Amino acid sequence: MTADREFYDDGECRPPAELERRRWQRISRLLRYAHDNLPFYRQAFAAAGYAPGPIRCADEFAAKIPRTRKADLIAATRARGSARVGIEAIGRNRVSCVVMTSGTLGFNTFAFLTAADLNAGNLRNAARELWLAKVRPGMRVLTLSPAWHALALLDTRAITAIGAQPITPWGTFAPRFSANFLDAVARFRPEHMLVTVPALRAILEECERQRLAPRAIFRSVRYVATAGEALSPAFRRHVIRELGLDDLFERGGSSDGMFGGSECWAHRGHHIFADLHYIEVVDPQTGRPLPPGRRGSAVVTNLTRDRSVYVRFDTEDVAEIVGGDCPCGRTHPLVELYGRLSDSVRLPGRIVAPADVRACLDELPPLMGRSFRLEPLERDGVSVRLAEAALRPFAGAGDVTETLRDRLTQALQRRIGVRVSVVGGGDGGG
Amino acid sequence: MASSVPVSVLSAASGAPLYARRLARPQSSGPSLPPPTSLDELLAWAAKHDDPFAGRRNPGAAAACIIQVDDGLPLYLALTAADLAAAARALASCWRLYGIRRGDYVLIYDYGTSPLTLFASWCYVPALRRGAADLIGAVPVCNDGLPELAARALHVLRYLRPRVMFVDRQVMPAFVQQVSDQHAVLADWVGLVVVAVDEELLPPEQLAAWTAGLGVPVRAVLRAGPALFFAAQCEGGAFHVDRRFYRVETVKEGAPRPSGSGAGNLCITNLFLRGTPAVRYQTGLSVLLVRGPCRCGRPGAVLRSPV
Repeated sequence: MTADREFYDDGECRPPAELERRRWQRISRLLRYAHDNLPFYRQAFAAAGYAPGPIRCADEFAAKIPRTRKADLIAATRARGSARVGIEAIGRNRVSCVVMTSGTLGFNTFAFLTAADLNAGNLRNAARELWLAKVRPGMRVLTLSPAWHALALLDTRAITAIGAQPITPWGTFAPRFSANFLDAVARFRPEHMLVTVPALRAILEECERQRLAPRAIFRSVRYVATAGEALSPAFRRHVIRELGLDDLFERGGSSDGMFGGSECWAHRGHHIFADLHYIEVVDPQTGRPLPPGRRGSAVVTNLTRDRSVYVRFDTEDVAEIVGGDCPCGRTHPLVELYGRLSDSVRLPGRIVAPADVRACLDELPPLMGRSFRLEPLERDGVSVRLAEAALRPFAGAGDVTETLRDRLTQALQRRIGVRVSVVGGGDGGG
Repeated sequence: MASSVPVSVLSAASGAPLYARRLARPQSSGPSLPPPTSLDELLAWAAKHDDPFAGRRNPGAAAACIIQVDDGLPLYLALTAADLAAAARALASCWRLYGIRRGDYVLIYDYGTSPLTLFASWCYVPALRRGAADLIGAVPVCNDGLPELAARALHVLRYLRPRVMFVDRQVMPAFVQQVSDQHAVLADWVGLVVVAVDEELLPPEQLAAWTAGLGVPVRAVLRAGPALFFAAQCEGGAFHVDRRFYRVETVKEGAPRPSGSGAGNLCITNLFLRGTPAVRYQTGLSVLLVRGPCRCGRPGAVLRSPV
């Protein structure tokens, strides 16, 4: 495998028509398997009146197969009193490990993984994802890969599969471990880092606390790939400038539904590999698939088995399919992700997501990275409630406060196109 | 003394700067073990030479991965694929002593970067073909090691019912509090709680209090990060050292050399590490080293509290 090739494997540039044909073959087989072997889906299919048969297109799939939501899996977990809810397509394989999905809705559901998947589909997805983010053979890559997390645990395996070397400082993606991360960066001079956005913010703050120049500490680091939340353009520029990076990549996906992808160098969205996952973006109310460029909820169907399988799982993350061909040459869909639907405000014909607010907030240096909460306002507007901590730049400087508030309000109105009210107080949250 | 240490260990150590200069080579009897090295000495070497491996890196061994030995310590281990495999076997030896069997779930309430987690499964660390769970046929689940995740640990117990739960010492108070707050009947969900301690022996009263409070047996697993050491505590309270993986001695203050038994500071030679050999790592832990069968009936060396 040579470092200068664009693709991790040839499957990344198969003709779209071939990907589409294979998708429906795989989905048809998966649905038959789910009906025959997975009690959760058998019950759901029966309730929706679906009997297994070939599925030929997206509309037919959306019309016939019911969506599954996190709440459904939670209810099944509670009803059974067991982590196994009837979505575990593990056949005769031994379960290698159990991972937890995210804690959205205050409840972690469980996913069962086997070697047959971790060494095949899941690993291929992770390796392609890291290749997209410029992890290359021979690189030293700093990462944590928390073992409880469905997607992150694959990172070190993918790093190794690519031929790079993982370096693992102690801890997890919590701010108090940023000192360990900095120590490892200084000592091992990695070329690449995989972090979450909050961890990256904490690392920059730790540099400030220790009065270290980030550019000097991170002089070996050429690339960073982040996960956990959308990067605003301003924060992206800020990190690239502060750390002296060649490029910064945003990764996205969901541990609920177990799919993920990264941006390529074109930064137009996340490539979701169509031979491994099928992504729809649907209207949250009606469930109807939306065309490229329209925001809705991301719905995922895993196309491989030997693990807990998610069929039309509604992640309830705001997403849109990005239209057009990607200049990188990959033929797989591009999906942009904007944050949780529950943190967003749904207005007639549009969804205002946390990423919209973050994009404007980060353009104003005193407010970069500050917490906020997005709430609906009467008459189709939105309210942005900044956390108390975010008010610090306002303290004792009334005119500055008002100036910043006005600039933020105007920027938000320009971006979102609706009435916006910026208020202080509360605990933030975004 | 060196006779019970494989030549390959000494050979690997001789390539590491820290040991190269300390390995005495009497002409008649071959190489002997270097004098003990404490954590402070390792840290001093690391700082003086700007060397994250504290002079213990064997340049002849290719590292499959590099891990930090413990939270906040600027010390790292470069591990070869063989190191990883042996570490998993050492951990599996402990798991077996706790009665973990094929098909059991095992919850690890510790960081994913802790050796207790890393070597539990091939899933958690690259270049490891079989972790402790794979060797036994058990299934691990990791909860990460933050105190605020105590409720999630309980959530895993409720829905997965593992035979054994490992808990890092640092998060034990938060976990105990969570059990109390939720009025959880732990005995319905887990058979044994094992507290992971780092170069520390918990007072028996503490274990007894936790056992009473949680309503399930509580034992400990002893770790020493710089030597990648694990020792499992048996029902009788002693820590069993698997001699396939470790050679243990004690160091008495003022004594000319370490002793093979008796009271003193625990001194560990890891018999499997080749990437970053750990020869006579002297912990700050005071123990009584006893040779011969334990009261529980198991053979081999055991460590007890010297008091």
